[in-house]
Amino acid sequence: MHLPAPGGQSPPRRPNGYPDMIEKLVLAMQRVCFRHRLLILLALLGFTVVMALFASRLHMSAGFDKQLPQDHEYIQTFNQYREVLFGANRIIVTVEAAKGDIWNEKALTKLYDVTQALFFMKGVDRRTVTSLWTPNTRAVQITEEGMKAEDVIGGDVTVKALTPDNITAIRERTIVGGFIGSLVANDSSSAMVVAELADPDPQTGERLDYAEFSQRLESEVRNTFSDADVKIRIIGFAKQMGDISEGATSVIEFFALAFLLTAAAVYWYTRSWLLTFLPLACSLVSVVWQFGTITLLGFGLDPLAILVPFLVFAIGVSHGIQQVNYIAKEVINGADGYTAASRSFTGLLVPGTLALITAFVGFATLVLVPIPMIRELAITASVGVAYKIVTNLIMLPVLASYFRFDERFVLRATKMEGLRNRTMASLGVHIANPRNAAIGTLVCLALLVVAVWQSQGRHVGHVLPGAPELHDDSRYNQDVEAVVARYALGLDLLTVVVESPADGCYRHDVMSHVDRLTWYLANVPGVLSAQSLPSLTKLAASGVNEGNPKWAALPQEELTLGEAVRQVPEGMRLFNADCTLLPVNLYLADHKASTIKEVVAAVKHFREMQPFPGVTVRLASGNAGVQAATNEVVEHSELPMMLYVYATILVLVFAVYRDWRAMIACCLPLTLATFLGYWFMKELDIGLTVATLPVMVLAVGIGVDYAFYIYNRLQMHLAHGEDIVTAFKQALREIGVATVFTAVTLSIGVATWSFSALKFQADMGMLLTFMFMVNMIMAITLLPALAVTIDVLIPRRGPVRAPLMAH
Amino acid sequence: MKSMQIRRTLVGLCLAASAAVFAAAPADAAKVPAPAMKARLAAKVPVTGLVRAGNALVAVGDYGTIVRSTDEGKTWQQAEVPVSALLTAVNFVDEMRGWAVGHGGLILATTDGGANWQVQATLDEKPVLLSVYFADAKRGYAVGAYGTAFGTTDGGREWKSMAVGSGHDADLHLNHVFGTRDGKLFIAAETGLAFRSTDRGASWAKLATGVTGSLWSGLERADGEVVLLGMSGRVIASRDGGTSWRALETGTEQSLTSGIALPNGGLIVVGAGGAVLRGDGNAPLQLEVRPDRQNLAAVAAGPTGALVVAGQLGVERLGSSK
Repeated sequence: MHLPAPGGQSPPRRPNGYPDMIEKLVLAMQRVCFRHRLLILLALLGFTVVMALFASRLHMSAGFDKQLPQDHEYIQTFNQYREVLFGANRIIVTVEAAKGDIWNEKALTKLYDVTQALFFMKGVDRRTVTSLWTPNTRAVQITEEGMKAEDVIGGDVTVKALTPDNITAIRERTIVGGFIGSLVANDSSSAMVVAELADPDPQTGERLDYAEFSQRLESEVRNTFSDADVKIRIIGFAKQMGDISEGATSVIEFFALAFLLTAAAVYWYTRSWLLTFLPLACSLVSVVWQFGTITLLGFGLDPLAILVPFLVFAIGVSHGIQQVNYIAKEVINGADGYTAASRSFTGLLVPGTLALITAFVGFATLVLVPIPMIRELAITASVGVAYKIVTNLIMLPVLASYFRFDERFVLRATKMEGLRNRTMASLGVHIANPRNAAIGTLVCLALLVVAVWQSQGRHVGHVLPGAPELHDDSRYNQDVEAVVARYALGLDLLTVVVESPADGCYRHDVMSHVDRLTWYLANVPGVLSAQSLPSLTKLAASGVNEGNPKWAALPQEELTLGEAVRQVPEGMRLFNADCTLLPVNLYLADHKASTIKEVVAAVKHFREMQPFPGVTVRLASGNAGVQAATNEVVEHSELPMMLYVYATILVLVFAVYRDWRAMIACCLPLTLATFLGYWFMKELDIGLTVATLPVMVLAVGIGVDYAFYIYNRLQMHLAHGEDIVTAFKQALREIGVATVFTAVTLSIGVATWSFSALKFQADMGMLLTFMFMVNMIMAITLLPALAVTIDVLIPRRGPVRAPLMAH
Repeated sequence: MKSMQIRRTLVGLCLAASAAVFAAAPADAAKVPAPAMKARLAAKVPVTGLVRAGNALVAVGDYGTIVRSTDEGKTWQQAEVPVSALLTAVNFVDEMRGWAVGHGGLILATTDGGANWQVQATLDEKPVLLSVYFADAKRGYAVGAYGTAFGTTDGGREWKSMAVGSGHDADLHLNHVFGTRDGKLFIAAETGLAFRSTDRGASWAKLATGVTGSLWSGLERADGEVVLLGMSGRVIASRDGGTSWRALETGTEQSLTSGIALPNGGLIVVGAGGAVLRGDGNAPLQLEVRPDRQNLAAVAAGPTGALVVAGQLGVERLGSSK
């Protein structure tokens, strides 16, 4: 069988060293697919309809738990105690005076209204609602007669009865009660209502829908009470989750936008609606299959994983363009639609499969990361990529075989072709010139060294303050910033869980141990404050002794100790009912991985050096504790992931080309691109997270596509006896434009993500755009330069094996 | 940036060093008193007592922490202390020799100005000790909860129990013991009680203070006037060695914890809620409430007059007392 190579020259058929099995398989597949083309297309259509039915049932599911490494020590602690520890279900609403302070009738009235609104809101645990207006806010004064507690705002003061005099009294009691910094801002510019959520609902047992609750907070609290004088700020885990789900819905728009941009770009490239339709339709079909499969597997579409169907679509378009490029070139050279399509099929099946298998393996290795979210993503992505082999390497050319191309298209395309070829050919001349190639290789090697050096100290985890999923200028994070700035309140909490024998809080030795642990941890850099039952019990002990600071110690005697313990409010969640749980809450300066790591190391050190019989010190709950676990897993997973992906690429390249030169020429540019990506992450403060770990792995899997397509052509021309410079010029002329175009198209699509309301999506978008472009540039510059340089330095001894499509 | 790095490393080393101390301790650390942890934030520990010793300032507080400053409170160094209980008071007879007491009947002593401390005695039944006073290097007194009172005549080697109050008064907390230049001893106690001894602690007489709220501390002014202070912002003074008392106007209801006499005859008193009272010479006390309203427990003046306060948030230099 004789197939002319695209681009006009018809090389003579020459024997090649390819494994006969693969060669026979490809030809057999080509025969089967094109002989039964109608049957195959009908079968695929039927499958698509069935999958579309399943896909229509796909729902969005934002799962917080899925982002956590469930088997990690810290997460097991977190899961075990999440219901009883502090803060998980807390919601904070602040009433902030636009001007001046809150010590006036208007602001205090507003505070009263917000308190009432939260009290009557469904989903809020009424008993826990706390503000200056609630009766659980009491100012305790120690006098000679004993402890005297009075309401900060007494029952006799109503909103209507607020006068400058009683406002002054309220203010004084607020100060005396120590509520400055907790319920009232340090500078009195704002006051707070705190409440815990009833989740699950004690009556119905239903879980609270955070998205819906968050919307009610907007409509019933923020919109109702904010005006020119008063700003309402709302923070808390439920609100954060609500805002993330809301941001995730904007994804649909990005998808639509990316689709339109891609369609326009493909049309510009092909100048044919038919050829535009082919890659887009085939790629969409595989997305439909993928959605169907996700539903069948029982998954929902997660905001984090929403990247995947989009990526799968993008990969599809990328391979589709190689196909239409091949077909168009055949048509220009005079082939009819059927012949052009069947040649494209045979010509691209091997490099296409190679590329897709690499991407598949890349995705599949992510299953090894013990984070459910990433596993789900790995499964859906690898399924999607596997489908691509069918939709883009088989369905697309088979479908194309029905198309007819008229004279006008051929004329138009030929004209375009000439211009593009000239551009690429001149590029090829410059790059493939041995001297330039050597210079290019040296420059790139130098760049690699710089990139490796510069990418050191990349961040792990989340870097910026506030909710890491959202942008720093998102309303939620602005609210967080405003609240943290005004209150003596840390939002980065790491809880060390201390398990003790029953009634541990009445044992002096156990309490002393926890007290020492608290003081030890309070001294770790990055810890702003440490709070535990012993530390508050000591204050209480001083309180029962007339407030004398010399009594602020844990009483030796069990009854006295118990008396002091009972003074500590239960709401602080510093002990459980049977006193088997004595958490130490550490408020951290930030949630940077370096900060958290130091704290975690200190806890481990203490627990190793100061064991105490019957007492277990466990890491870790709180947002920082959870993040510590995720950071550890992500950090430890990255290198093995990358090694697996590179190993796969090396094995596949070697299997197909049987040439160590190919292995170097394909992998070195990828390595440089990867390190440039790390450098990019460091410069842009993008941390290695659950969201960005997959991106880097995927980027390698996809980036190698360009290398495969280009090296494939290069190898073919070399096999035809051309010298390396000519071979590369030819290769670049034939598919250079398609490759550049593919990368640009993909980048445009992915770049739209940078505008996402969710920071991690924006990070992913930026990183992926960067990786697409860099991988493309590497494939058309460093790859040939390397190939040429290696060839010059170590000339080949034997003949070059031709790739399959050289028949 | 660089120095920050170095500091962090140093802290890391300190933590590691303290951990090494832990490691050396037996596993059942609860039974044997652990030495005070070397802490990065030693000067931020809750402080209960603060005195001047020669050119140094020495503060004692929680977790057996003792810190020492030789630059009038600008920087503080943590002393070596073999215990980690709450310390409650400290007293020096000269710039080298001092004593500190704490919970668990602990009496500590130093002979190097407060840099290194040894356990001198652990009193039977481990009472909560609240105050220590040494009239000279030999004769000392320690008082505390539930009428605990001990005296020594050999520099602290041997402590003998003293009976201060009698009857109902015998069980009350003895909050502060101090002496005057003419050799009298005073004890400020719970429920407005105060005692005086004119025979070096052999016998104690109850004073008619005329108040019912607990008295927490006392001092002798430059002109010999004896001052007692305590709950409800109360300051009382006696010009006749404790026989008759008059109340001083303070303008605060906060509990007052401690005071010092100024060389100009004046007085500085600190207390809960950030209260700082100051009267120069014989002028009335002026109240100043510190904005953070933190509870203050002690006050001292450095050798050149710098004023240092201490309390819940550790030691803090206020400025000049002049």
